[in-house]
Amino acid sequence: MSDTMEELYNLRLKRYKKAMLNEKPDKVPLRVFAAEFSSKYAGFTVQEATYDYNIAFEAVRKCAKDFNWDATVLNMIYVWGGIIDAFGQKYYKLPGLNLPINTGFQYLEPPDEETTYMHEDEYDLLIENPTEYLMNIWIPRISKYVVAPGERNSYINNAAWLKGGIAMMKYFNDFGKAAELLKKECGAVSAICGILKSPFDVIADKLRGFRQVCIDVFRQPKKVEKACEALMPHLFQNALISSDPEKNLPVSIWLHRGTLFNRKMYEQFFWPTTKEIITNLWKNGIQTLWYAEGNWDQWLDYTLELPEKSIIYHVDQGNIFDVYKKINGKFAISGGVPNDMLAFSNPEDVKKYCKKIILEVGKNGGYIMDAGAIIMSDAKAENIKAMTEAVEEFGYY
Amino acid sequence: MNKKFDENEHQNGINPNPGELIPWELKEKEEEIVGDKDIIKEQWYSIEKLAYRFVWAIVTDF
Repeated sequence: MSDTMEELYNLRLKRYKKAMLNEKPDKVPLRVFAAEFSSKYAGFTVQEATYDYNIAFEAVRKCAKDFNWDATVLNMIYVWGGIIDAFGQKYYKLPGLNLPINTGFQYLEPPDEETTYMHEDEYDLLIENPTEYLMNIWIPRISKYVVAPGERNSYINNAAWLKGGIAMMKYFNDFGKAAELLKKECGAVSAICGILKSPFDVIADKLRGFRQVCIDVFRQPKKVEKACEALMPHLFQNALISSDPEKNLPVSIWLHRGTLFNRKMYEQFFWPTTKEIITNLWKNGIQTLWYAEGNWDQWLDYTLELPEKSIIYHVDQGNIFDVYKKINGKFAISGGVPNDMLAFSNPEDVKKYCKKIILEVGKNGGYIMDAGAIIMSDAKAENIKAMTEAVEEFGYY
Repeated sequence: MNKKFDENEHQNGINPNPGELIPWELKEKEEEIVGDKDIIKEQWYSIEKLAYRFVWAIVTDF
């Protein structure tokens, strides 16, 4: 690595870390989460980037270099086709396999009790032994290849476990190599390390499905609550195992369904276990990127119960200026540039809006410039460039 | 419809802690360990952690 690139990387890491800890760096960091936008910009199909993650890594590096990003996610087209084909998850559709080559991968949630992967009368089994439940009951249902204990074993079952495990190791090991290349070639920082989902989101997304969980919260609320509690230590452990050993980078929590329920339900199902996991990660020296997909403004008073600096509050469709006022310096903030603006507006307006965020939200530090949500192929390159220009023109302290 | 759960078919009597699939105690009972137990245990858990991560990655990542 050239001295210049290493210096640039160190400068950017320092800048990013300071901003995440709500301090004032030399400049507002630009940290962009780009998925299908990056492959399109770099001249690849979405199928190429989904199926060959080295292409996805390369596309992100091209964006990081061309748009001068301080930090980015190594591959935001995260669901690699190879691991899905190896293990046989039924809930994905993939570009080039069963979707057009330039459509992003799709998650298909079971729409009813007939097709759900966890039945309504199985909460006790999940609560009693979550890992066993997943391995013996849930995984055989979600995988085309895995069979449940007691069913006739198959060559394909054995191969699926073997190939799935090896695929994950290969993928995660190559993330390490991609982080090194991002550093060496672009002087940019890998933005996150490790994954967290709220226990309630796991039940609503993957186990029961949203429609079914909407019924469960009325018919068997205590079971849902107990299931969240049973999942909590595992989701904490999973986040901890996958987190940055250097403790420089945050674990990201991708927030989904909590915001779709009423206050009482948020308090009962979503918040207690989510709060405890994030608090415990912070006790272990790990920050969490609170990636609030959608509009989470109404839950801000709960989020404010978290320890100071324990999260970076990411704004998607919320009002970033209101969030800034309410947070009042307790956490750093990121995001807030609307994705529809990046897709349908023009560079002048994007730049103007970024300037407003920098001058109001970023005036005392603790702000990281980013789009509200992951950038898909509808964003215009000239608008992404306008974000960079805004940081260069107005982002220095 | 997905096949109903049959308790006799599925339960294996192992209730692993977070971070493991097969608790060390089961390995330890297999045979008498004549050397340094900690060396073996450390390696056991280095693999356990990865296998555990795989199962939970299907839930959280893939």
